Amino acid sequence: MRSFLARGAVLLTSLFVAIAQATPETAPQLNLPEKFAPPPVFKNTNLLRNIDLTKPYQREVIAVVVENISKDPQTDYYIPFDKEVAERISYIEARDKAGVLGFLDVAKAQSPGPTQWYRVFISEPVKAGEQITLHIAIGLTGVVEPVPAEINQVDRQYLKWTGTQYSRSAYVTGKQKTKIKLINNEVPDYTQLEPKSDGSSDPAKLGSTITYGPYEEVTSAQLGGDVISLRYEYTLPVITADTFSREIEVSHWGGNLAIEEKYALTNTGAKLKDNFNRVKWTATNYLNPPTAAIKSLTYGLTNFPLNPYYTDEIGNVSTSRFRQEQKPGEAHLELKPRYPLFGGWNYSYTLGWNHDLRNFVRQRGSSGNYVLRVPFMEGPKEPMVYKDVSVTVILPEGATDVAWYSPLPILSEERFFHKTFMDTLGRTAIKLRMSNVVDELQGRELRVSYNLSPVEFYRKPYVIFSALSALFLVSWVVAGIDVRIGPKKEGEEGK
Amino acid sequence: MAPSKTVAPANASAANVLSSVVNSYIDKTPQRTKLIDAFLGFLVLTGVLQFVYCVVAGNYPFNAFLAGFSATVGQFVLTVSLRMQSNTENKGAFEAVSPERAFADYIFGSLILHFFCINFIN
Amino acid sequence: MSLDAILKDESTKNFRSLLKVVILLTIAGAAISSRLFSVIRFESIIHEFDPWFNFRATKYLVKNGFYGFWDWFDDRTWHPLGRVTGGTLYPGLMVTSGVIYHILRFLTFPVDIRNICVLLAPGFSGLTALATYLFTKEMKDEAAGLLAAAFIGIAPGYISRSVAGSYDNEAIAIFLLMFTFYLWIKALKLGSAYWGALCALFYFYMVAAWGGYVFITNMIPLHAFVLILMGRFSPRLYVSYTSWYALGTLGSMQIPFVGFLPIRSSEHMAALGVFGLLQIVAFVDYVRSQVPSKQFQKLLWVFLVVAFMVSSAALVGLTVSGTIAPWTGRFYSLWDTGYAKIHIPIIASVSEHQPTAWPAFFFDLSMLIWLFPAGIYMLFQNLADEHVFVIIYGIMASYFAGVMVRLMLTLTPVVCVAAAIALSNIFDNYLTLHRPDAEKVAAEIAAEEKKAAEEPKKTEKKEDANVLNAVKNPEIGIFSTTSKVTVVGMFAIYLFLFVLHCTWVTSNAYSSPSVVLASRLPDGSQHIIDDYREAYYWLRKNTPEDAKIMSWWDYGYQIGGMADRTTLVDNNTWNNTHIATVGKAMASREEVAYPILRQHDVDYVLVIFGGLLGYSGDDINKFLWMIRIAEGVWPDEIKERDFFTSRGEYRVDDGATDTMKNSLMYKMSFYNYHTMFPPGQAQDRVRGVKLPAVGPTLNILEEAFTSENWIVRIYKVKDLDKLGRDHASAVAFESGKKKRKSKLGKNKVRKLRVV
Repeated sequence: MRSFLARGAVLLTSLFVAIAQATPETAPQLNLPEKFAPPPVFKNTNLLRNIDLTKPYQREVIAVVVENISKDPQTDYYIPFDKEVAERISYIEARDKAGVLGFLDVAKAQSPGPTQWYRVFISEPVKAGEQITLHIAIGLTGVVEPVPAEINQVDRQYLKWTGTQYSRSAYVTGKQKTKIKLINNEVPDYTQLEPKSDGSSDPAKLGSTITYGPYEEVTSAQLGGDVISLRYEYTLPVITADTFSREIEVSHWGGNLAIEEKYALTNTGAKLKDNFNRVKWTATNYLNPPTAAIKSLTYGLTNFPLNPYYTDEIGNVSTSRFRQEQKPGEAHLELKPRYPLFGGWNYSYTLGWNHDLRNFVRQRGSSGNYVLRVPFMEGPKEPMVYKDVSVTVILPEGATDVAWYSPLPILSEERFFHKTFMDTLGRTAIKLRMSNVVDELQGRELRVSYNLSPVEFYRKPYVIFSALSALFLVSWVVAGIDVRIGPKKEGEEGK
Repeated sequence: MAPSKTVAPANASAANVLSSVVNSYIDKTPQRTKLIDAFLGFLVLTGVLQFVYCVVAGNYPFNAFLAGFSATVGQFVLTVSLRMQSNTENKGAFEAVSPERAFADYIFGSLILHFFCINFIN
Repeated sequence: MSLDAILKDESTKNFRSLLKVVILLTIAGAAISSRLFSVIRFESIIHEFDPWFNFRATKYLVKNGFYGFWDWFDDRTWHPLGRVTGGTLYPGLMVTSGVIYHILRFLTFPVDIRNICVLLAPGFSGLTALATYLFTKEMKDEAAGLLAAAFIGIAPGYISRSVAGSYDNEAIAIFLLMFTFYLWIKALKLGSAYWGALCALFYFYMVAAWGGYVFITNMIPLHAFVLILMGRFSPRLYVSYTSWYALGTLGSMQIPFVGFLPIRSSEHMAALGVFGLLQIVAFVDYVRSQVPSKQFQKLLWVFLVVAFMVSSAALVGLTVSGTIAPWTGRFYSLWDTGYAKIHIPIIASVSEHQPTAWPAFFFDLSMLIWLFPAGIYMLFQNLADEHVFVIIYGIMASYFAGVMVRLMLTLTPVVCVAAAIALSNIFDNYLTLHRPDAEKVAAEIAAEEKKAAEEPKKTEKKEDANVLNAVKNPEIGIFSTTSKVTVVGMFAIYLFLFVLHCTWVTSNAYSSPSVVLASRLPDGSQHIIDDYREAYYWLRKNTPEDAKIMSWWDYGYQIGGMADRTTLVDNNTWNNTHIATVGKAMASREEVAYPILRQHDVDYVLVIFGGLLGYSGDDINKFLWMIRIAEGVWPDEIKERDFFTSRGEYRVDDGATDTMKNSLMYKMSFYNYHTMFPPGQAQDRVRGVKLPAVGPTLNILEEAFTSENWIVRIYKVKDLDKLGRDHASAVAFESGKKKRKSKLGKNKVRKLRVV
């Protein structure tokens, strides 16, 4: 109990801070002219680009030592992207591992040119001549495709990744290196570039890591340099969720938080060249080899989930397993689709479960102000790309002054009234839309605050009570009306 | 009903029997019942006319003919029922239905009949 | 206060009404809960085949409104013909669900339409219990009514068609049947046109709900006719029958599916005939009251008979000349039971249409079946107009139930009523604290003996209870408490066993959704075999929206409901030739079947195969019916005899005939099946035979999907070959075989390859 209070206190203060900050879409617009070129105030002394291809999208972490080569303190560091590439960015964040830079904020710029600019704002200005280390994490989707596009049922799946030799920067980079991490050692094809000055090959392959570089003195005009591509074996299925919707319903009367997620999945890996052979599938399944087909989806649910249900459009799906883990409050849920999803096949399902509301909603003060803190997205542990995401939060009837904080940039917000059992007004609901989300971003917290006065709290019982009273009154009046035909006989008790 | 012992031969007194039937009808039946009988006669006439028209001019659209014909037939039987029920001689047979109640039933039945007819005429 | 005082005193009337209400609510609760086995064991899902169409139609109604539903032309069934669904179904069920849906929405309860459809039948079973209570109350009294309600609430004969998930017309039709009959009896007893009009309104609702309304259409006229024959014509009969007939027939013609049948088909002629007869009888009765002459009476009776014969002759003449349609196939097969097998194999092939076996009566009705004749006999004791009705209903329903298993459903209500009357009579006599006064009885016996001695000529003593009671109130009853306790105890035990039996039967026999199969794993936990839904969902998600699926008609509704794809034939079976075409495609060689598939734009073919699991409801077992139906239309091309071996056996292993081995159905079922087993050991667990080591080859189809336990197999129809070859040679080429030269012709010169 005390830990709850302590946690609550700490998180409430951070909540204040968070809500006090402008949410990404209310941030002041950053407008840049078409032929914008950032002033050459920084120099990337040393840049290490780690590209992680163990998931079907690219996770890039750029660790760069930046030196302020101007005479004034600087706060803005610009990162350029091709507009077409920038559309596929799922997340871009800047972190300061050393902790000396204060607060880092990445803002997307609006400019009409072919380059998409991102500006990293450093709250603690970098003094002239000072060197800082920035870690920029970028998630990029749509960079791999299955090659060959069609494989047999038992064949291995290979993906081809296309990227650039250099890390494109707005500033001169003194030394840079690109390390690509793969899922295993099988890389049949990769772009060979000119050998390095010391005669060794470029790239160098060591186990499941391929290193391109190091390269010296790359200017911003060189953009990304040569195009490089890798064709490597990928032993996991490539899953894309075409649409994903998550509905979070808060019920104060029931003390329950109900979560329902709807998925429409497609296997965007290599398609089946021959026909689906059930015999071979059953035979190979015993050994459980890596396969390009989606066999199951695993969830690690936290915070005491209860009563999960797994259905699809035509009814309940019985192939699932739910068990509590060792750690209290954690549960392992494994779902098997009705049929294995091979390349190009689709499947949709609905998954829902409940929580005790006390773990998610706290009362702030005593004025009926509540704060809901719930993971923004909880999906399967398998690597997935979500193309179209919508999160709906349904608050109790009569909730007012709804404010929210989303950990990811959203495309649109919609407020409406959701009418369900015995509602007169309808429940206040907000719907947030996002696109191009990856499973890395799961688990981040969504915060919603709302006011629920005690009068509104008792609205439903009042309505039901008055409706039934009216019914009794009307029936009493109607029963007293005399509709007999003919004269009333003495002693007759009526029809 | 006290039988009057007229033991006349059948065929010779056919006309007599008929005229006596008609006379007794005119004398004994109350005004209200004669009104109902006039309405019944009108309904029979309408039904026959409709049927003749159907035979002569063809039966398209059939549902319209049926609706009209059923209206006359239905109204006829309902009115006959009303006549039976409002006839004071039959009181023994109808314990639960007073003449006023019979009229209310008649209206109820006619409403339903005409509702169906209007729907069927299209 | 003694028990009798409680039960009969005026002051406890309110208490008794409350008790009645509570008992009826409890019966409704028992009826509803005993129908929920499959919902609890599996899930809330629509069962079987026909309900899927009703569910789809209800969803359409809810989405598109009433007028959209009324004018619905469904182009996703019976490709390429389509079906005028709005005019070829009985809309009562869907409209009922739609109304309930809208009412609940209005009361802010957003219940899903699927749940409404699944739980409609249990809900209406509670109402059926109420209707049976009212009906039996008119027959005897409220105690018998409550017993009848309890019986119909849990009798398996009714449960079999009204379990939760069985969203079929019978779900509401049996309630409407009993309620219409109740209203008819009430109208007859009171002689009121109001009750007759109400009866007509519910008859209209019944016509909207079920094709079995014909039963009411013939039962009520039969009752009226028998009453006339018994000499019991009365103005009450006239008023009730004519108001029912006039309004009811007009109402029944409002349903497009019924249309003008009430004046055109033989099944409705009895009602029209009795209507005419009643007019004549009433007229004669009226004239007789005006003219008391005996001779005139005789003449008029002669006139009556002549008029009746003339009208029947006219009826027969019209039927023979074709103006009035003869009895349609389904109903004709009830009279001539051998008719369907020869002429309409589709009707004969349905398992529900087979004659009833003796055990089915006990299985579905338990002890009620031997109380039923006792109840009918007791009705003879007190033969009022309404009792004649139950007797007639009992006789006719017994006959029909013996002809067709499906019609056990119409027998169940009358058995419950009659058994309740019998049991109620027993309890009236034995379950009472009243003990006859010994002295009074002795005095009465002495008085009777004296009278018998004095009057040698015995006057005709009618065994009419009314007359006896009017003359004197005899002292009757059971003296000994032991016999009372014994009898009552015995019947209490019987009733208890009845409940046990009904619950057991419901749980084991009638609660299977048949879409989902269940079995037990070695550790006792339930293992669900969900192959159907797996395959239908695959179809739904991985085929184009306008893909056409060919399968046997059994699965048409399910494919339309769950896979949401266009089908060629479905359970409506309105077009025999179309079904025969599908049968021909299934039963022919690939070369013959392929043009049929192309002609009908078929994209996928679906078959059910139970060989791996031992599931005996698969298509190879139904294959003979496909052959027979196809043979009915193409007797030259498909011959049933060709599928049997020379010894007359129906085999699927090595000894199968060539026609069998080359038929598309055989190939589709066993394609690649032999690779599941070690070589030479492929086994078909349904037929119990070993299959040949080399399985069939398919040229015109390729396997698209097979479900986990091989129950559903889906094949994709190959497009025309790009090089213009026929499929057999294309496949042979692909698999590396040399193109075999044709063996024909003496004058055929071997062509040299042109380089």
